[in-house]
Amino acid sequence: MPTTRTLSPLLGALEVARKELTESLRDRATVIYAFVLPICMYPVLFWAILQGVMVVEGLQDRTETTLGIAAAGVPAEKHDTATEGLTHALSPPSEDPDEAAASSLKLIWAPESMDMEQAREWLAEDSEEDTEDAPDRPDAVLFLDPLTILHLSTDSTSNLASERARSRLAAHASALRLEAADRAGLEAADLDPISVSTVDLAGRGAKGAVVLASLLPLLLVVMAVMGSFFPAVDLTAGEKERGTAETTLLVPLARSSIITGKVLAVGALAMSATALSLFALSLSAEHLLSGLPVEVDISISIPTIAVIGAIPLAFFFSLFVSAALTACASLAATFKEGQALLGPVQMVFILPAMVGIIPGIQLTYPMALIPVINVVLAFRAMLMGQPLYGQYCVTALALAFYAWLALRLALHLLSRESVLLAGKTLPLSRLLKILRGTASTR
Amino acid sequence: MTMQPLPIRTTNLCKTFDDPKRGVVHAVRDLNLECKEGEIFGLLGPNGAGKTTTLRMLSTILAPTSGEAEVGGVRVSDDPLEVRRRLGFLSGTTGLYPRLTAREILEYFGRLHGLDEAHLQARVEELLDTFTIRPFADGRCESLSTGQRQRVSIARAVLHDPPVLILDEPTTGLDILAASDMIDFIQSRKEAGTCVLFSTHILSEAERLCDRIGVIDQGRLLAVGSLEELRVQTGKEWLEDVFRALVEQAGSEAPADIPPAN
Amino acid sequence: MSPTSTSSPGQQTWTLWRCEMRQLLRDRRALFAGVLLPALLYPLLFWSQGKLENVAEGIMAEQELTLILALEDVDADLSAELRAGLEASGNVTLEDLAADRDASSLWDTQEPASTPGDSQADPLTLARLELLGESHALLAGRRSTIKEDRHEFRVFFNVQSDESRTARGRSRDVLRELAARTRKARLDALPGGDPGAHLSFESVDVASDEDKSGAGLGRMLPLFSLLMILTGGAFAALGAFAGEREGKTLETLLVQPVPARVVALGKYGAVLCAGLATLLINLISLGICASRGLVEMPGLSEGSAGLPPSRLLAGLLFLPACTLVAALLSLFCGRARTYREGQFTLFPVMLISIVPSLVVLRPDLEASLLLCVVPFAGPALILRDGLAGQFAILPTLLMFASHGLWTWLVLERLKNLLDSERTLSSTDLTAEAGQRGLSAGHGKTWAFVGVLSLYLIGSRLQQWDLAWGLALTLWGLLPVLTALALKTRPTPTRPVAVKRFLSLSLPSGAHALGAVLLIPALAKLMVEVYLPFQSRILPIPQSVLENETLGLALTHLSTPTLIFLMAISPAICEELFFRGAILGSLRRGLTPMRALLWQALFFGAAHASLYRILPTAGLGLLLGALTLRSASILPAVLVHAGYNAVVVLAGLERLSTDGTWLSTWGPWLALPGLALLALPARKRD
Repeated sequence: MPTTRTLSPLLGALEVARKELTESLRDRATVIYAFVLPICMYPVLFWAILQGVMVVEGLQDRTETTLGIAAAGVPAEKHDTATEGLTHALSPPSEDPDEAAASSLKLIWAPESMDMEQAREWLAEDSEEDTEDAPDRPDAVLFLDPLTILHLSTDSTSNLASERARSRLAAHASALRLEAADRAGLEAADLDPISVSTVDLAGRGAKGAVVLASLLPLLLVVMAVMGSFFPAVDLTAGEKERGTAETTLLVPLARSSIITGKVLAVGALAMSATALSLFALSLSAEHLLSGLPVEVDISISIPTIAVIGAIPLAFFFSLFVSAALTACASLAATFKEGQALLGPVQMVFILPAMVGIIPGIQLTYPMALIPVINVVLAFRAMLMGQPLYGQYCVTALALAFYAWLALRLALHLLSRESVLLAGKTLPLSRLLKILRGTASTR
Repeated sequence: MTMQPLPIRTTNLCKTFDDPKRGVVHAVRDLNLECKEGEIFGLLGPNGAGKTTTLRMLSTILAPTSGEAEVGGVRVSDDPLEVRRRLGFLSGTTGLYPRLTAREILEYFGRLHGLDEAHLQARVEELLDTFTIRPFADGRCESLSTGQRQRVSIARAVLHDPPVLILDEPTTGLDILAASDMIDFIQSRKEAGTCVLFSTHILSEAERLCDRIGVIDQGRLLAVGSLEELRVQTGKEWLEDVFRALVEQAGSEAPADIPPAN
Repeated sequence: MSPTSTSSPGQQTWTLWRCEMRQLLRDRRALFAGVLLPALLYPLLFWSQGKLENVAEGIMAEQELTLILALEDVDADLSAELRAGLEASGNVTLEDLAADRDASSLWDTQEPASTPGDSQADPLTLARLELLGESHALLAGRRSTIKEDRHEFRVFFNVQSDESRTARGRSRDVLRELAARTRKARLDALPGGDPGAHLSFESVDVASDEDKSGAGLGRMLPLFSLLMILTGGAFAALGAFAGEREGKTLETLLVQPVPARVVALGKYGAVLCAGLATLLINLISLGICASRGLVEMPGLSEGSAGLPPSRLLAGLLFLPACTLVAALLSLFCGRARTYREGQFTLFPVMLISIVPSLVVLRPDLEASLLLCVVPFAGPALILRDGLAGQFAILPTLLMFASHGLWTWLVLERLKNLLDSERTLSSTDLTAEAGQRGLSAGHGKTWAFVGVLSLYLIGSRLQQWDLAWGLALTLWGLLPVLTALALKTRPTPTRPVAVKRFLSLSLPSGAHALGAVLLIPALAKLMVEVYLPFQSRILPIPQSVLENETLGLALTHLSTPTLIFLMAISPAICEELFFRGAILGSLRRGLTPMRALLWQALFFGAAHASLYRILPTAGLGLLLGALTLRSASILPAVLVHAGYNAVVVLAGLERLSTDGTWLSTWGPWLALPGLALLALPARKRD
């Protein structure tokens, strides 16, 4: 008989984890979901958003809009005098044909004198009725005296027309005021004697970190859950389905080692998905911000402490989630059912995370003990550069404790024969019963 | 007098696959086969010999790379639907819809075959009795035993009373009783005048059932004939030895498996 | 043989559909998770969300804020007004900066060092932080040094603290209001009053409440509907396609006398029905939630104007999107061999359908003829406008027609998928594609990697410095990618030498000359025909046009440098990668036409702009064709370099394009060029 040695529990667990990982990594779908997708999704998504915004802007620039001008009791021949200056302000002549074509606002006079009520009707007339007979229905109406812009908030072109009219009137007014000030010997600043500015003392990168602080903590939780979802089902229910569960159990290793190994493998995949997507999002977020047409002065730099501090948090949290999901998935007999089983369970993790991103909730010591919420709050505090070292440590310890607890749960469940070799899926409600049973038999 | 077309006939049937690891694989090469009415023809060969591929080409699931296959005089490439109407197909790995009952499954496939409603009901009732499915006809298939499932599958395959039956390793995965049921069934079809083409790698089955045996290896049909003829051809008594002798003989005739030129 | 009447495809489809539906309805667990659970979750979700919002608001309102004021020489009235305003704004404690503190740092105009990260070391910021101390914001004000009656205020805060941001917000609001009031007084004090007074206007929205709530509903309904169709349809699609294959019943189905089209249609019908049923159940649940006041839902809640039932018929306008998404689900799940594999395909379908429909969130966007053919974007916009009472017949018809076409195309693809042999192939999805598939896969993978790294790394380099970044991208990134792609190329039974793989051999002289002769025509075609055409269909926004032209940022470079950077370098490096490595891989795996199209698509995508994707893809197509024709990338390099040089120099007006010999007669050179290219290659590949 060849000499064999018994593997130590830890080595055994690692050996199992290694095998499970190798197997998972040879599966195309797992590789795509754990590695390729987290890296590619954000750049591609952001690119699409940027291009979409550009196209929309471009199309809008070229959209021709008409502004109807209506007044009560102004005869047609007096139109010009009634709108002295206004016409000029609303559609300034331009030499460049390209510029003229952009953001055009055509002015049309109401066919007759109308009061405000009639002007409303002129604008709001049902479009079905005035197909060809009244081609000059305006997109928005400027009513003179009192000067009022009428628009339809439900009509996209009307919004555009009123926006254009609004900005042009404002620009014209400010030009008139500057002229008057000049005549009176005043400077522009005299008209606006109080200047207000805000100064952020947290440094340039901080603003970006605050933006990220509203995204990354939630993403950490979501990705850890999503990342461990499929591997957890695959390594438990999938194994039952493929019929390899029994073989694994025949290995001369303590069951706890085998199960720990599986949980470690799930955790590793979850961690990689989490880390990669956090990384890709922070990388491409700046890209998105710099590419947006609006001027944003944000540079994104994540505080070093957040990067270092996130590692133990993500580690224990992924382990916690993986162990919990593995435990629940072990009740299922097939991949399909495992997945239906875990659907509700994952909400248990994601919903509390939403609580954590409410502004104003702080990472206090009691908060640091609540799972899921604590990891969100701690990560957010780190990104914001808050030095809550005591609370961080408590959070990490609490997470480690919960991870251990979830691992115990998985061990309990998976060492029950009724679970391990069950021919069919057990309902989630059996979970409690099984656990109670374990307690009583011991 | 016009000759009745043969139930099954293939001429120079070939099928090649491209496989990234193994390169071009010739699953079936120049296969010529003829089965007569009321005949049980066994296709005998080891795993990967090309049995399943041949049967799948005949049942229009796969398209031949070259050559022709005909069922009842209809070419599979010309009118696959007509071919499918004429044959019943069953493989050992065939599954059943787990959440439907046996009766529903039979009705479903009957309708797909275009049986009219009155005839369909009568036929289903008849089959329920023939294969003694009735006791469990209204339970979901997921709760049936392997043998019960097999009976439902058989009933499904002969539902439209096909003149040709193609069975791909029909006894795989069955227990002793279910397997002998299957053997009885095949025998009973012969009496009904159906042409049965079935593949197997179990020699005793072939020995017991077949009128004629075709030995197939590496996609090539090595020999065809009744058991007696094959014994004479090779000079061996036991079918195992006959089979081995044929394979060895073929190996010596075409020594090296020449790699395809590409 | 029993009397089988050939049943019509319609009957067969109906039978198939009924069988699928029956199976779906009996899968209680999946039914619960996929259909009912969401409907039950809303009330809970909405309720808890409302509660949480209340909590958050409560927390923010109760925050005790300390503000330090440093208002040494501010006008007394102004200062009093400011204090009163701040105290009225909420729970604020005001403190004055101790008289002995040196506040000069607050008014230092020197910009803090702009190195992110180590700003803490900046002495100015440190001094200011010390003044801020434990309080949440510091509000400093002084008289202007230029004129007595002007004031300047600065609010110092720390963006990383929630309270500090709130304090900043409150003080800013108070200050701005103060500023607006003073400004108004100043304007009125102008001789003759405020000259802009007659231009102040009121804005009135004349849309009816009904229309408004319709529009509000229209903004969320498309997303909601798609999500519901996806959850409900997914479980049907997985069962009908992946489940069928996993349950080993597909083989049986395929030997029935039923055309693949019927199988595809029957199953698709079940997917669509499951999706629509889920949508309906969830809409009802949502409606109940809204009418109970659990959620604010325009058009459904009690508070907002109810929509007339006739208006809700507009929901039918979204049907084309529903049919399309169900078809996509079927197609994606149809490719999967197991339930597990099918599961992974759902996410892409979700992205494909949800992202375009986000356009409804822009209220200023209308369903133009161009947009209404865009999958999901068109129906979403038309639904929104329909709910708001806007209905345009032509875009709607076009949308229905185009989405019908998209759905038909997808179903056609699904039919082919069911028909093909891969559905039953025993090993891998790509198995029968073999060596060719491996090679094509390699080409596509590396093209994708290339596009992604150009987008992520290349654009970052160019942001840092346009000229150097461009040079680094071209001479650093692309060669590395080319080398990696070469290194990892699959080794066929008979290995291909690098030179042959990249088509590095010399072309025949006729081909090289012919290619060069095409340049003037190509440039003229692009600048004078295509670009004006594109700018009409897909106009570039004015704002982008003004500051985004690549060439403008490089005007300071001399012409030779420019030609090297913008013409010669891209020609060599991009051709080596795209026409060398990528096309080299693709053409060994695909038909020439497909290989050309794929590499052109990637080449277009690599330019990372929707405005350039078509012209560059077109150019890529031509360059690829030249490479295949002459079995060498040299002609492509020449054309690429020449074309780039002409376009860039013309763009910078360093090369006149009007009336010169080259611009008038140059394009005719294309004729002899094409003739030369038609000559047989010296050596065929």
